[in-house]
Amino acid sequence: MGKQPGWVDYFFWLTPLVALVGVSWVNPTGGVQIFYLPVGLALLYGVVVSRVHSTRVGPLAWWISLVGFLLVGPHCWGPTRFGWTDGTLLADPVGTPYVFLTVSLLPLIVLASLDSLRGNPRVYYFWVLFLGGVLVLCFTVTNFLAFYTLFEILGFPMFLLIGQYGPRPQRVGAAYKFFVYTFGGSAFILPVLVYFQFWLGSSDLFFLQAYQFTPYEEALFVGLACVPFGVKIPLVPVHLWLPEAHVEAPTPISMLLAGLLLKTGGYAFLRFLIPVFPGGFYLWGPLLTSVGLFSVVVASVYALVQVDMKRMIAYASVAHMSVVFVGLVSGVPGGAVGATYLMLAHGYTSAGLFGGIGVLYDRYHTRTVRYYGGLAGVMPLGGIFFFLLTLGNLSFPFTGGFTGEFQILAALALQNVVVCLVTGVTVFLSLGYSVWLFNRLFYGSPGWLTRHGELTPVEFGVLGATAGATLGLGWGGSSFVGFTQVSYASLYEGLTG
Amino acid sequence: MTPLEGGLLLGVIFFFGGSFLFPRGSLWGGFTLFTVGATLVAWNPSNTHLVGWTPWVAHLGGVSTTGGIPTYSVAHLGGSLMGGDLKFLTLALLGVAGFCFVRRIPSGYEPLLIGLVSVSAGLLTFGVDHLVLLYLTLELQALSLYTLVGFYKFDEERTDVAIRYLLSGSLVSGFMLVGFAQGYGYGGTFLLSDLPQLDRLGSAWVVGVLLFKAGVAPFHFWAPLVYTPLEWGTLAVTLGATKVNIWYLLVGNLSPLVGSAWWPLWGAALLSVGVGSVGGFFQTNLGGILAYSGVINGGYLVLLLLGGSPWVFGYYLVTYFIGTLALVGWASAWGDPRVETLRGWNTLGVATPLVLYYLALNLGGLPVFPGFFGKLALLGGLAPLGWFTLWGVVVASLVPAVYYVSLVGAPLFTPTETEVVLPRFVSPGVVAYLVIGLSGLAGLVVSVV
Repeated sequence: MGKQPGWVDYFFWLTPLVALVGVSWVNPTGGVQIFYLPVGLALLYGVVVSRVHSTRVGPLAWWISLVGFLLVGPHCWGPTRFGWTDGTLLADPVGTPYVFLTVSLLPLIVLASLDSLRGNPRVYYFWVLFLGGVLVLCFTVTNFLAFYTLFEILGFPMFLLIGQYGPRPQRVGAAYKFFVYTFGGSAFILPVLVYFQFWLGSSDLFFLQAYQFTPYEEALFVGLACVPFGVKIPLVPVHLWLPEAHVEAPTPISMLLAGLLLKTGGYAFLRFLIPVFPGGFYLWGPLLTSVGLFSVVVASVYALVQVDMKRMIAYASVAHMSVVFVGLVSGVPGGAVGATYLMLAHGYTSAGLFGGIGVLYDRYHTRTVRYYGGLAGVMPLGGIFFFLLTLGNLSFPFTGGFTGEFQILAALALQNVVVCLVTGVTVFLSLGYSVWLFNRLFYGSPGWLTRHGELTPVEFGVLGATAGATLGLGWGGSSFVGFTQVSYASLYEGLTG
Repeated sequence: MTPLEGGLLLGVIFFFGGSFLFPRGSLWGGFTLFTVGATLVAWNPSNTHLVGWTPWVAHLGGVSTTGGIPTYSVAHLGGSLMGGDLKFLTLALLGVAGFCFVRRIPSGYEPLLIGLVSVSAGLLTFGVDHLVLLYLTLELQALSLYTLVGFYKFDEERTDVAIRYLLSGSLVSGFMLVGFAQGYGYGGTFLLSDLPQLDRLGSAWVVGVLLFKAGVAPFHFWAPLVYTPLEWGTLAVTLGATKVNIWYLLVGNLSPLVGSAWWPLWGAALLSVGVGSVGGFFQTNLGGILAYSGVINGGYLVLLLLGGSPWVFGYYLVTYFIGTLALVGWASAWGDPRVETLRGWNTLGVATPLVLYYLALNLGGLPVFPGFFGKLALLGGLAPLGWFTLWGVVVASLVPAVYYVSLVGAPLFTPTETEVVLPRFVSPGVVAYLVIGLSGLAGLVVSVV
């Protein structure tokens, strides 16, 4: 057995548990409590893990996240489960796809950490599971101020996870950059939320939707609110924190960042900004679309010239999320459906690619592309998974990325063909850097790379699941459109109707 | 014997008894026990005027009431602010200062006693209704602080800043005397309750001196100089417990002066928000950083004085002071207040650096700590002042948040070559005191208001 837990341990773990009980007591209504489950599990984990040896911590965290997925996941799947609300948390077709993404990626993130973690495992897994819980609440809460608070809370564990667990000394600078960008952006929206809360009397979504803002107010609020969520998406030129954070963070944290945290930015547009300020988006639409297009092209070109694998995938993430942004501000429900679908697909694909890069980094301790080659002969199974994920990244037909981008481009074509064509540039550019990366990694002569072999079972699980999800999403587009159609149409009612 | 007298007597017995029985080592223990006892008594709802039990002070004609039913000092904007709460806060902050003295107990009993005199003089100002007595108590408090700062006569830097502090403080005391004299000249009375409305200049004399004592720009120049060379205990006394009464005077007894001195107050507030948000970046010492933190938060408090409600003022005051002193208390475990030496906390296990992180984020007003709700309350209170004020405050508040976090960057992320040993008093009990105390007090204030 390891070091016996002390007074401090119990205090540290039990305090949030008491807070959780308090929250449940304040909001005692029934079924929706299940969305507190990941937080509860993280806290339970904290209590339990104090009693076990540190080497068992990872598997325990994996089991807990898996149980969380098995319990919460089914509630997100199927239209019959949607649409109930208790006034505080809302589970509807807009938010629950993201809840599903969270609870399904979390076990994979923990699994990817098992063999590569450096540092204190207890704290690490606690923060990862805690982040999962906060994300679930983030994707279900209906109060804008509460959403903002949860959105900000996500930054503190990330700051620690990047700064303490990254493999290189540059991790500290990357953590600061992450902090400064994300919290600097928040300055723009805080006065708006204060205005809602203290002048209008509430910042609840439904109250704000019913409130008649003047055109000037809508324009001002959209302009301000786009900054923090644009930073989180991220859009060029406020994207600079993302490549640094990805490069310096440990691989599973990159998976979490790309797969889940970036989605909170897009979700904020979908859930709060567009339904509440349709007039503002009508006014800002051309400028925001231009920023999105600029971001798509610049990020794709930047990805082409990278020599670090993680940085390349990071810029690819910026490009894909910029396409999402263009879809969101397109002004038609189809663009939003495609944006959500692309975010789901990107969640699995980018997480898988970062996981694959982590596999290589753990073996060869470099992320520079030029040192690699011929891995297809060394790890053929790994090559297949990486290939499938690469197809997803370049939005090849019958992958989730294709379905999402197709829907967005179709929606854009209805509005403006030029915008559609410029957005479509990303398809060609992503084809370039994705195929180039795969080619350099897996073809040619293996050279010194033969010292390591095929994927371990854990790595097989991570890459296999993400590749499977990437392919699976390529076949589910029509059913997704079917059960989200009404909700997304109502979101864009102010813009279209 | 009233509970107040009993508590104080018990505190004195603990303080001196503990100190004599266990020389040096238990000085801080006695100090802390004293403050804990006095704090519990001060929290007694039937006691709103600590000095009410002292007949000889009442005899001087300076005490406004003699206790009994809770009374509230009516603030100039309407509403009320409980003086007893702020006395409680003063004593709680003194308790934290007791912890801070552990690291480096100054020679002998004198610094602790001088600190107590300073805080006691501050507590007297809560109930004073007489201009002369108010002047004397403020002077007694200031003289104690000058002495405390310059106590180490062989420390050249401290002696130097103590002389500067003394000279500038003496100068502004003269200004206050001018203001009080004008009040006496207009009204023919020394009683604050009968004081006539002063003209702008007369109000500005008095209010300017209070701003100086609180360390608000443009009278903040002494604060970074004085705080930088101080050891933790003196820093905690100077920064925390001896400041609360100054703010109380502005919102309480001297609030009639604030109305006519609105123009220097506006200038001071805006300047403080600007200077405080930038100045901290150039500091290399925790004392200097907290001095500029005091400047910007002082700016916020003055803004609340001008446009907010008293309860928001009180709430923000509580979250600011408790957040600051909790950070000082926890960081004092380290010994050296220079930022460059604050590294290697991550070798101390899990909870220790995380508490420091929590306290820094709290002081930065980031979600979801009490400081964040303090900032929300602040913004809500400032909402009537308009969009631009609100905006300026939000933007200015982000800058300090960045340097607070940079402060914890070294402790959290940078390893150290030297062996790190925490003093014995860093125990789960202290963690509980700081974290629960910080969150609990802020929550308590919310529930009260």
